[in-house]
Amino acid sequence: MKSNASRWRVGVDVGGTFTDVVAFDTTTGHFMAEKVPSTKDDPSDAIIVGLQRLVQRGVSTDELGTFLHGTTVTTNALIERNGARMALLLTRGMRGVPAVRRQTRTGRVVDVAFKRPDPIVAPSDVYEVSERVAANGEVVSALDVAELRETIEQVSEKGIVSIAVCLLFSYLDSRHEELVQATIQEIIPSARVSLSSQVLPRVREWPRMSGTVLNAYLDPLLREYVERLDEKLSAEGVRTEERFLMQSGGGLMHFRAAKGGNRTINTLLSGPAGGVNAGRAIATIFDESRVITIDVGGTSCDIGFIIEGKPLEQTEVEVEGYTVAVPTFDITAIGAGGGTIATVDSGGALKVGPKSAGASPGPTGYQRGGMAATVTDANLTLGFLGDGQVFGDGITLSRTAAESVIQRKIAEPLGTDVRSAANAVLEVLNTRMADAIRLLAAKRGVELDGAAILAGGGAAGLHALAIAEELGIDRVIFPAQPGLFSALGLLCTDVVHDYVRSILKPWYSLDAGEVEREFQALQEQADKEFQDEGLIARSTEISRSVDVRFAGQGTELQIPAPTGPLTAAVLDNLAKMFHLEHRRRRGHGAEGGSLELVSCRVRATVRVPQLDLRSKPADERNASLTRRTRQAVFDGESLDTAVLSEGEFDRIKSVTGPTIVEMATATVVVRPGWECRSNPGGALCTRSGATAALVEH
Amino acid sequence: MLAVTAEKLKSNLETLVGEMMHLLVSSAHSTLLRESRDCSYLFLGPRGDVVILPDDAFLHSSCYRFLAKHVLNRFGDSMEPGDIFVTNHPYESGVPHVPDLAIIAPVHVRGELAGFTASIAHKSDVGGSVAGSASSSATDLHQEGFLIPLTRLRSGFVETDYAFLMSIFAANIRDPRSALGDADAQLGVTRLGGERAGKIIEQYGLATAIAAMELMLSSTANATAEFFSATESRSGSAVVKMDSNGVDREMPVSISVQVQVADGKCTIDFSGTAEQQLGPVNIPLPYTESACLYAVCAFLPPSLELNDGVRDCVEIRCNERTLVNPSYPAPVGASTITQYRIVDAVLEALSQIWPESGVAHSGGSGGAMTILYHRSGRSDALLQYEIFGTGFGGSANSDGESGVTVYGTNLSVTPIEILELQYPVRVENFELIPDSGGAGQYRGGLAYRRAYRVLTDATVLRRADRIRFAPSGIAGGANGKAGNFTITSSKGEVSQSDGIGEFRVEAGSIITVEGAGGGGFGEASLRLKDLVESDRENSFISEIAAERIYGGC
Repeated sequence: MKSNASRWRVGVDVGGTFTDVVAFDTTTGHFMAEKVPSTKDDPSDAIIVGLQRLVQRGVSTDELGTFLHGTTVTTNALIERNGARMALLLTRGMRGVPAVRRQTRTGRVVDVAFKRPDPIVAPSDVYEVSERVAANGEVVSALDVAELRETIEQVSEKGIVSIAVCLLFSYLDSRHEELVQATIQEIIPSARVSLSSQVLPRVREWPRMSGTVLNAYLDPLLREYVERLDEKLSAEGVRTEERFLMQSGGGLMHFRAAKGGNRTINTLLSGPAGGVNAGRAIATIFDESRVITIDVGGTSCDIGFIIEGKPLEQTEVEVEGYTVAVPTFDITAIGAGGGTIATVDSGGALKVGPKSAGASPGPTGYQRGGMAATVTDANLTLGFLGDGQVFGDGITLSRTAAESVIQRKIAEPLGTDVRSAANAVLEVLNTRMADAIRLLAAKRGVELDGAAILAGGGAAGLHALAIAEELGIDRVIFPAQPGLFSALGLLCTDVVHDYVRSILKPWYSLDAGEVEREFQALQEQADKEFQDEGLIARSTEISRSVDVRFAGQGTELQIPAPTGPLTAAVLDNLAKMFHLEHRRRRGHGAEGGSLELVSCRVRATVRVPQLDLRSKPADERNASLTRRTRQAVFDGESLDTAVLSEGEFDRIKSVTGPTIVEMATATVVVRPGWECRSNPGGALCTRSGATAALVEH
Repeated sequence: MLAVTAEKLKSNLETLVGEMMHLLVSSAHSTLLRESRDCSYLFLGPRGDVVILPDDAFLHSSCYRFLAKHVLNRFGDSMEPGDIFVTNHPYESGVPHVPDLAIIAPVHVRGELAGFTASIAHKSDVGGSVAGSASSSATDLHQEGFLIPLTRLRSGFVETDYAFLMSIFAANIRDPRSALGDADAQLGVTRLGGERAGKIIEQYGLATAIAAMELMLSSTANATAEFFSATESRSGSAVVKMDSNGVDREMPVSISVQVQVADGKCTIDFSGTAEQQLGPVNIPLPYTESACLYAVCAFLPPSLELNDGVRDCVEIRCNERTLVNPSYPAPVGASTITQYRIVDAVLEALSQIWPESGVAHSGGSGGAMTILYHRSGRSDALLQYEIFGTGFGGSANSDGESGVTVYGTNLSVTPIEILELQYPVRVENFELIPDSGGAGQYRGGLAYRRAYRVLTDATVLRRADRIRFAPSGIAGGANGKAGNFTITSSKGEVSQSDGIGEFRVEAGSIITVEGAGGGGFGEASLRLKDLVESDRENSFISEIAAERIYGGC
């Protein structure tokens, strides 16, 4: 067979416990997967082990066309606070900006001992630069270079390797920041420099500074990691230059861009982004226009939305007390999962969460020293999880232990029986998850009526249908291979770069030609970066949008704009779209109100061949039917419930509730009134018959 | 099982309130709402009780309760689904001061009253004698802005009645565009919130939902009583002094409080507190009650759900015609400044009862500043309104946080780039003030300084406290540093003031605002050397303080 240099696409997702390496064969549509224990000190070790195993199974490094990687390197470094020793240079007199941040407190307002998370850059590593640019971009006082040189000498003496520069109004005029950069590089040639005018050229000094500080803090680490991985891949015989990291807002970033340094903060949510991508692909396959993704694990439930085939994004997130204002998939975590603890307080009220028993010691039913009544214990008590069922890592579930803890800690204080108590725990948890979805949907302007749920993660199958019932949703999809969800998602991703430019002008004063030139400039920047990444030969897709608000408002709405050229008529049309969107999302409008253009955005996409999530793993299993049943309690009623393994279910193709499907890494409870079908590729589709019937009437 | 319904309903209502608060801020127009978030949204039970108390509404909790009960008393018999009530009257309706506009609507389920949905939001100007309606020397409520008594917009006539009311309001205030934009946003969320609340309650059935709300209140009341009972009968007291009432500038105003915890109850008695004042530092009773509730809740176990159930176990005694319970038409414009001091006093008294959770005085309110820029040829006023943060006091386990708005207030700082884009001003300095936090084993939080160079002639209005009397330390901790307010003319002449009043300044003048730092907790000699050293390195304390107060390291 002739060698095909782009035959294999490899996706790597590094999780806290396992590193998943998946190779997708573009010639057959099949894929192979390896699960390797993660290597925390150097995550690239596990990646190479996984790759070597795949090579043993037939993947040729000569034929490896694309390497895709979702990483938590920057996230972990931020949470564990082991980024680079860094300094921050800011406009003279402005040390209050990083000290006060937003000024707001998070958590309980009655906590008089509130503490912000520690600053990433200590006040003693913050330096002032004499210079000033005014709000109209005019230089009020020139940069004092002699003084700056002295400052940089001091920074140099401290052995600092990474420097963030954020000067007031630099998003309007970046010359002072560039002069600072040139001076730093002259005095400390090895220093890494992050300029706010390059990392995040947007109005509002704190979000811009925050992003630039995080970038400088994490850049040396990410660069080092990518360089190491790059070398190791080459040493394994990988030839392709198409090596990418997943970005927080979807899309891929070339290794070269990662080493370049200005986009480091775009990787902060690289890890979970793969899963959202897989969700997007599944939403497209099942032709669902509105999908709520829930990923329920032991401690938390991640919630996201995919609308018309596009994951919702947010322009700003808060991590460790810092603001990250780059496009990010809109994923919200709430404290609700299998290990979530239930208690009855002294006033007689039942509380479920947000605390979790975690994986260690875990729920009481794990028999690993856990003493708390958890959601898993409630599921065991009611028969949704099986007595003696084995979880990964050799955990054997005990119903007796679970029942006794629910009896003691929930049923007795509430004055009820053990089943009612367990049922109450699940009801409260399901309501909390449903409400979190409701709140997020309302905030994002998503209509729940007619939406479907896509449920991933080990514990989602136990709760998804009950949540759906509470939300009035009649379709729930479970992906095949829930454990490989993120890695598979990497294989259905395009290369995407986002660009933004602050404008902040009254709508009436806009000159269409001028706005068009802003868009053109962003597109030229995109072309140049794709060229640097060696992707220019492929066709680039450009999409434009504008951020608009009522004059005087502080929060803008993102309105998609046609690709061009931008005319006065297009501007009028955009204003109309804004009014419609404002009324839809905020419940009131003011069609006569004057508008402001806050910023122009360009998203540039290069399409790459993608994995079809209907494809099967190369190595299929077979299983025989055993016809097991057990008693499970649905809303107080004990029912004879069929229990199927994944392989068994694959052969039956369709069941009605009550049925329990035990998959390798997840359990799906098909509630009475629901039907569950298997699909090509192994996804489970559940549909509420009762609800469907009601609709037909 | 009612306990389960209660938990579900609570989750539903919390979600609703969070959603509406988000909507209110994101559709607001003024920088005060959209950048600072000086507003709140709440759902109340059918008897006017606060059944869930979100963080954003802490400051206004008892005001909402008073307002809802007042609506019930006045209109209880004739209220109809779709009615909306508007008011900003501190005495009649219990709002903190005239700039706080309240909009409240009954929630009906199948024609039966199921609760209330309401919002309170601060307007940067509601008329009255000075721009920003924040006169520091008002002697009468009517100087503090245009008053709207509790006004019923009848179902079916809301749009027309609202337009009519707002047209009169607009003619009496200085910045009607942003004020009316904010009022529209309030009306929007109050209606939308009411509709959603009705749907939620209908799911459970009205009787069940009301029983669940009662259970939420009684579980909290029981848990609170139990916590109080677990403490052996004890008492504490505190006297704090405010700089002045704004009119008699040399005369301090004192707040005296005696607190007793016994038999599952907490009694807070304000006997000995100053009489009703001539100037605007008087505080309406419901706002005093909100302050007491905040201070008590700070000592309750974090797991306890907060709502008006706590109030069942707290008795607040305020004599009539005093600072903390004034009568019409005493001015109340600066009531928030007083509110912080009431919290200081009650926290200090409670710290004697539970020293293991004790906390020193905070820097309090950083005060409000209004700058009215003089522009020729423009009819609308260019009005900049900001409220400043300070620092928390040190507590039994940690340093006070620096550069925050303390207690029930939780406002964002207005970005410098936004200020300069919107107003003819240049911010020349924004930094924490070294040594402003009181020394102690646990240091008080630092306050910050902001310096503004005005680029046109302007009128500046400033109202603050803590210029004369610094925040007290406790348990041997030192006092925080007092605040400061100076104006430097374009010729370089510096004038200092007691932080209150109206000042006309020329273009090029610099206005410098400094808040007060929090008090320290415990003896400074007990502070860990490492902490002293890092404070010195980070310039939280000066070299001199490190040597003299902490004895070097």
